Amino acid sequence: MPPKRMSTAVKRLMTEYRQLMKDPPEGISAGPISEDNFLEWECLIAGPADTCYEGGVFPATLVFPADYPLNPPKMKFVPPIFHPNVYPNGEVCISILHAPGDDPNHYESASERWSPIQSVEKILLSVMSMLAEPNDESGANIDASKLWRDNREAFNARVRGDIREALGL
Amino acid sequence: MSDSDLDLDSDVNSNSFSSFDELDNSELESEEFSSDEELDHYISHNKSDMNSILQSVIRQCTEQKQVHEAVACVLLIKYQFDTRNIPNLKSSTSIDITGQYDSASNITLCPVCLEDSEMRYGLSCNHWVCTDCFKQYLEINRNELLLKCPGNAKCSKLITNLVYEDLNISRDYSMLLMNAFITSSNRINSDNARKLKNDKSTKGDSNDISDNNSFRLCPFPDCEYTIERLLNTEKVVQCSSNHNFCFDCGSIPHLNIQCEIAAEWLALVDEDIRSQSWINDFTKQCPQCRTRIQKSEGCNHMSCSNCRYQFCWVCSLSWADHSGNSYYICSKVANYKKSIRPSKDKKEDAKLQKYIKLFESNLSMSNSSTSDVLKKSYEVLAWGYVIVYMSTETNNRIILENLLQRLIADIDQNSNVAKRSRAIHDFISNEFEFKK
Repeated sequence: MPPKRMSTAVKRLMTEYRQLMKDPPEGISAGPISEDNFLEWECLIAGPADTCYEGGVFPATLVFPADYPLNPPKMKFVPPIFHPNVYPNGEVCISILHAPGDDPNHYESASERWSPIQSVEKILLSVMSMLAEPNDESGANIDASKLWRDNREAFNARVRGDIREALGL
Repeated sequence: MSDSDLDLDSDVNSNSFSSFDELDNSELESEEFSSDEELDHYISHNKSDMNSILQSVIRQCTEQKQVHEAVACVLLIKYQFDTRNIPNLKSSTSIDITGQYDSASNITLCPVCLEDSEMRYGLSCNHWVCTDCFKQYLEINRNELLLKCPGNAKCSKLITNLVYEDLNISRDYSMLLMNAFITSSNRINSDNARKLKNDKSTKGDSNDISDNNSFRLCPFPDCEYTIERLLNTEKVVQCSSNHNFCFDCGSIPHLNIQCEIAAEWLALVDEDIRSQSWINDFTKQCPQCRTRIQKSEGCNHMSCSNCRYQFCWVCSLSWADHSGNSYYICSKVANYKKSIRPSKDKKEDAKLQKYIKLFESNLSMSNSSTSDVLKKSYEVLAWGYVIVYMSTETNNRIILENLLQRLIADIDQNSNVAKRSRAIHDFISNEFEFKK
C-alpha cells in the first residue's frame, strides 16, 4: 500500500515543477530526471547575453535532500564548467545553496542564503547571475579565480573555447 | 666540535648561571618554578561560577539596552559579546520574542510546504509559515543561535529562544550560549591583544566584563573548569583539577615554544602513534628477513612470502621448534616474546623515532616525578629535544644540545638541577630557525 501522505519534499517539488512548466523563466529549463524520483533533477542553463558564457548551454543536476525545502539541494554542472565559483568537479558554490548554519560569519555577508521559501527557480536565476558576475572572494576554482582577476581576456577566451568544444565546433 | 663546546660554556656561564659552584644542594627544592605567583594571572572557574559570570553579562546587557533577556542573548551572540558594538535599538525592530503576527492575510498557502494550512506561526514581521513547517525549521536548526524568519527570504528578523520554547523544541540553550560566550571571549581577547600591541595607551580603561577578560575551557575530557585569564603574562595555566595546559592553544604545556611549532611537533607524534599502532596491531616482521607481514586469516603457522621462512605468528619463533600439532594455540606461548619494533629504512624516520622516544620518555618522567624541580626538568628536557629536532643547525641549537646533555648529567648526579633547567627554560626563548 502506498503511503497516505506524500513527503513534503516531493509535494513541494511537484508544485514547483508544475509552476516552472507553466511559466518558465527565460534561459532556464529544469525538471526531474525520472517521474519515479522527484529528488533528482536535470536542468539546462543558457549562458547570459553579453558575457563570455553567451551561446553556451550548460547542463547541470540538482539533488534534493529528503528534508527539502528546509535544507538546500546540491547543484553540479555535468560536465564541469570553468568558473571561479564552480569547483573543478562541477559543484556550484553560491550563497543561496548554503544553509545558514554553514556560515561561520553568521549573516555578516549581505548575500542571500538558503531559506525554506527559496525555490528551484530562484536558485537557477542566482546561478545565471553568478555566470554573469563571478564572485572572486569565495573562489571554488582557484585557477579560474586567478585568471578571472588577473587576465580577463585569457579567461574569456578559455570559456569560449570550452563552449565551442562542447558544441563540437 | 669540542672547540665550540668550550666557547659555548663560557658564553652560557657568564649569562645565566655564573654562580654554579656556590650552588648548594639544599637549594634544589627551591621555589624556582613555584606556581603561587601565577595565581594572580588567571582564575579557575567551575561550571556554576561560569554560569553566574554569563548571567551577569546578560543582565548587564538587558539593563543597558532596555530589552527582554531573550533579546539580550541574541544581541550578545550577534555582536560576539562585545557590548560596545551593540547598537541601541527598540526590541521589536530586528529580533522577535515569540510568535505574534497579524493574521489578516489573504494568502492561505504555507510558502514552505505549499499546502493549505490553518495552523500558522509567524513573527511580528507578519511573515508566517504553517506551524508544522515552523517547528521542523526550528528542529533542523536546533543548534543555531542566530536563526532568521523562515517566512520570507529577505526578512532578517532573528528568532529568540523563547520561540523555541513556545513551540516546545527542546535544546540545551544554556550550553550553546556558554560555548558561544567562551569562543567569543577568546576572539575579543586576541583582538584586544593586537590593539594593545599597536597602542599601549588603551590598556585597561574599561570595567566591562567581556572586554578585557578571556576564557578557555580546560581541554581535558570531562573537566568542568574554565580558566579566565586576567594577565597575559604566562601561557601555562592549571585548572582546579590540576590539569596543566597552554592557555593560548589549549594543548599540553610547551614551555615558551611558539604554539605553532609545538602543534606541528605534536601532530608528528600523533601521526606516528596512529600509524605505528596500526602496524603493530596488525602486522609482524618475518623473524628472518624482517618483511612486514599482515595476517588476515588462518592458523598461526606462517610462511613468509619473501624468504619462505616458517614461523609461528604468536611467538615469532621458528615453526620447526613447535612440537605438537596445535596450529591455533602456540605451544611456546609461555616463552612469548614481543616482536622487535620495525626498522624503518628511511634515515629521517629513524631520527624522528629517536626524538619521539626522547620526548615521550621525558614527558612521562615529568608526569611521574614527585619533586617539582624534577617535574620541570624533565619537561624542559622533553621540549628542549623538540627544538633540537625541529630547528636547523645554528649556534643556538648547538648550545641547547650541550645544555640538555649537562642537565641529564645533573639529574644523574642529583645536583644543580633547578638552576640548569631554569637556564634552559630561559634559553629556549632565544632565536631558533625552524625547518621548512
